[in-house]
Amino acid sequence: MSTAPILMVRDLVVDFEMPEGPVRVIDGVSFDVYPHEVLCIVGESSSGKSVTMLAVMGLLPRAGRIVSGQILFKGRDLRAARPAELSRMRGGELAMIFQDPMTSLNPVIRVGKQIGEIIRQHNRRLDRRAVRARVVQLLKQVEIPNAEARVAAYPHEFSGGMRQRAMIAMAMANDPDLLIADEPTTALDVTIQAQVLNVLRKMRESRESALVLITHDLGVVAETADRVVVMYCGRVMETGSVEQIFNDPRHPYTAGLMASVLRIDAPVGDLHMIKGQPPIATKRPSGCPFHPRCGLARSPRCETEVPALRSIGEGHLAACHFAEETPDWIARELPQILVPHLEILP
Amino acid sequence: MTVVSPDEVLRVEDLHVEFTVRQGRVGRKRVLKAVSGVDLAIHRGRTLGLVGESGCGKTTLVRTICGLQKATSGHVYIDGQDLGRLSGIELRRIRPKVQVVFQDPYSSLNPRMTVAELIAEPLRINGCYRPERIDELLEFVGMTPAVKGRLPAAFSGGQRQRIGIARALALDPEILILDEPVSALDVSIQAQVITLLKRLQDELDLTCLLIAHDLSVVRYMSHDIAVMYLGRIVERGPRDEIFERPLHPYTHSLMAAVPIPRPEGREERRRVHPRGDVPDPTAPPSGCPFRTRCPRAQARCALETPPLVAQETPRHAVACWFPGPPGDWHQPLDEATAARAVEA
Repeated sequence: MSTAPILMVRDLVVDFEMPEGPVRVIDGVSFDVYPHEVLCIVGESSSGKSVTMLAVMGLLPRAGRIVSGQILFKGRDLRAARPAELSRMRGGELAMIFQDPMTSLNPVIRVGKQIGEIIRQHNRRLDRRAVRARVVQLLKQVEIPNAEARVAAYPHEFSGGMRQRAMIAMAMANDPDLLIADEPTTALDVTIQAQVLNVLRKMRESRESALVLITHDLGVVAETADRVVVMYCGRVMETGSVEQIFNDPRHPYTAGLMASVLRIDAPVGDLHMIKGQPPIATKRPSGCPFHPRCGLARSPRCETEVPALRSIGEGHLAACHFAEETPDWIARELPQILVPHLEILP
Repeated sequence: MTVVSPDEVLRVEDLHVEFTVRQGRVGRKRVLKAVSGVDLAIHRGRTLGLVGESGCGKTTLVRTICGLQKATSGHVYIDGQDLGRLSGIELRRIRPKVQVVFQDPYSSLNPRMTVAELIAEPLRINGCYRPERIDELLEFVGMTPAVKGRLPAAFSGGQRQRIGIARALALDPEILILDEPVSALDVSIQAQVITLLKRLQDELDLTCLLIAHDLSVVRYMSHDIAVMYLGRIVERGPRDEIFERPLHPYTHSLMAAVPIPRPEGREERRRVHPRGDVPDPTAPPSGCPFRTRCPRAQARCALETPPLVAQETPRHAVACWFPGPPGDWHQPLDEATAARAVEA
C-alpha cells in the first residue's frame, strides 16, 4: 500500500508485574494499520491480542508496562503523549469497543445521555438540542428501532445486540479515524452477531474509519478483514491480506488453526488437532514459541532460534524458519484446508 | 399412558414449562412460557443436536429432563419411565442415568476438590466407589492418572472439560447431556474435546442430547437436529436433510448467520442477514412465534400457530405455513405445499 499507515506499532514489548516477577506478555509485536482498512487480529486466549491494543490505547492495567517499542498514531508518538492529550484523543479520533457492553455502559445513566456525554466532551459548543438530535441520528444509523423513544432508555432495557450497537454508536459519535473493537460479538448469538457486524461495517464505511477487529473466530475474520495479523504467545506469527492468509497460509500455526475449525461449508470429515495447548505466559518455550506443537518443527533450529517475521510475498510476512516448506507440508498433512468447499449454504 | 418403544432412551411429550414473572415489586404477574409443547425422542446410541438462540428455552428443557425443573404439563420418559409419576426414591434411582457436561469448566468444578475427589463424588453418592474406576475414567478421557491429586486450578480449560466429562461418565449414564460443551474453549482445544466426545459416542454407544448455539458443532456431532425458537421446536430431522435442505425460514437465517472461514463470496453472503431481535418471551407474537422476523410472513401466520408436521420425508418435520428451501423465498409456493399448509 502506498499511503502512510494511520497506526504504526514497532517492536512493542509489554511486561506484566506479577508476584513472582515480571512476565513478558507482548514480545516484539510490529504491525501497521492503513487508513480505511479493516485489520483483524486473530489469536487464541492469552495470545496477547487484547493487551496489544490496550497498550495502543494507553489503557493497560496497572500491572502492565510498556518496556520498549514505538506506537505512532497519525505520526504522533502515543507513548510520549501526556495523559490529558491521550484522553482527548480517546473517544475522539481513536475509539474502542469492548466485548461486554453491559460492563462498559453505566447501568444507572440513560443510554442517550451516555452517548451525548461523549459528543459534548469533544465539542463543548453544541447545545442540548443539537446533541440530542445527533444521538437520535446515531441510534438510527446503528439500526435501533424506535430511536426517538429509546434515547431515554436505560442499558438494562436494551437487548445484548442493541447494547452492542449502542456502544458502536458511542464509539462512532465523533467520527474516529481508528476504531478498535475487542471481540465485539463474542457474547452474542449468531444472528445478532451478523447484525452487529453488518452495522459495524456500514458505520465504518460511511465514516471511512479504519477498524482493528480483535477476534478468535476465523469465520468472522474471513467475513470482515482486508488484512490479518495472526498472534500466538505475544508474537505476530503471520500477517498478510485476507486472501493470502486463508488461501496460502505460510505459518504452520495459521494452517493448524484453519484445519481445526469446524465449518458448515464443508463435508463432515476428520478434525485436525493441534497437539498440546497454548503455553501460559510464564512458561513460554524457547526459540519459536509454537515449536512444541508444530508438525514442521525441526531440531535444533526451531528450539533455539526465534524466527524473525520475514517477507515471503507482497505484503505477506511469516515468522517461521521453514515458511517456504509450509505449502508442501499442508498439501501432505492438511489437504482439507485446500479443497474447494462444498456449497451447501443458501 | 403412552407406550414408549424400548429403543427410545429419552422421550419428551407435549412438554410445557411455564414461569410466573413479575416486573418490579408491584408489576403485573405475567406468564413466561419457556417451553411450550415440545415433543422429541432420542433412540439408543444416537445424538440429537438442539440449536437455538439464547432465551429459546434450551436450558429449561434440559433442566426438566434432568428432573431439576417441574413440568407444568406433559411428560418426560427416561427408559420408558415417566419422570412426573415417580416417587422420590424412584427418582433418585433414575437420576444417575442422566448426566450433564456443563458449559463452563471454570465454574462447574469445585476448586477445593482434587481431581480424584471430583470424579469419586458421584460414585460415592451412589455407593459404587472403586479406586480403580478413577484411573479408568481418567485414561478414558485422555488424561494420565498421575494428575489425581491436583486441584482444578492446575488445569487449562480443555483439561478441565475432560475432567467434567470423566465425572459425567462415572455412573455409566444412559443419556449424556452436553450443554454447550466447547463454547468456552479455544479453537485448537475445541477440536480436541470434540474429537474426544465423538470417540466416546462411538465406543460407549452413548445416547446424547447436545445443546449448542454453534451450528457447526451441532452438525459435526449429531445424527438428528432440532431447531428451537421461543419455546417451540420449529424444525426437526436427520442432520444432512436439515443442513442440505432446511425448510423453516428461521433455520435459514440461523445458517446464513454463521460466519464462513473463507473470504471468497463474502459480498454475496452479506446480503442475507436476519432482522430483528428475539421477541419478549412474556409477550410472544400471536400465531407463529417467528413471524415478526420472518421474510415470508403472511396474514395467516399471525392468526394460527403452525403445527410441526412432516414435509418431504417422514422424519423431517417443520412448523411453518410456508416451508421451503431458502432459494424459494421470493417465489410463489407450489400448489401441493400450499394445500398441505391449509389442510394442516
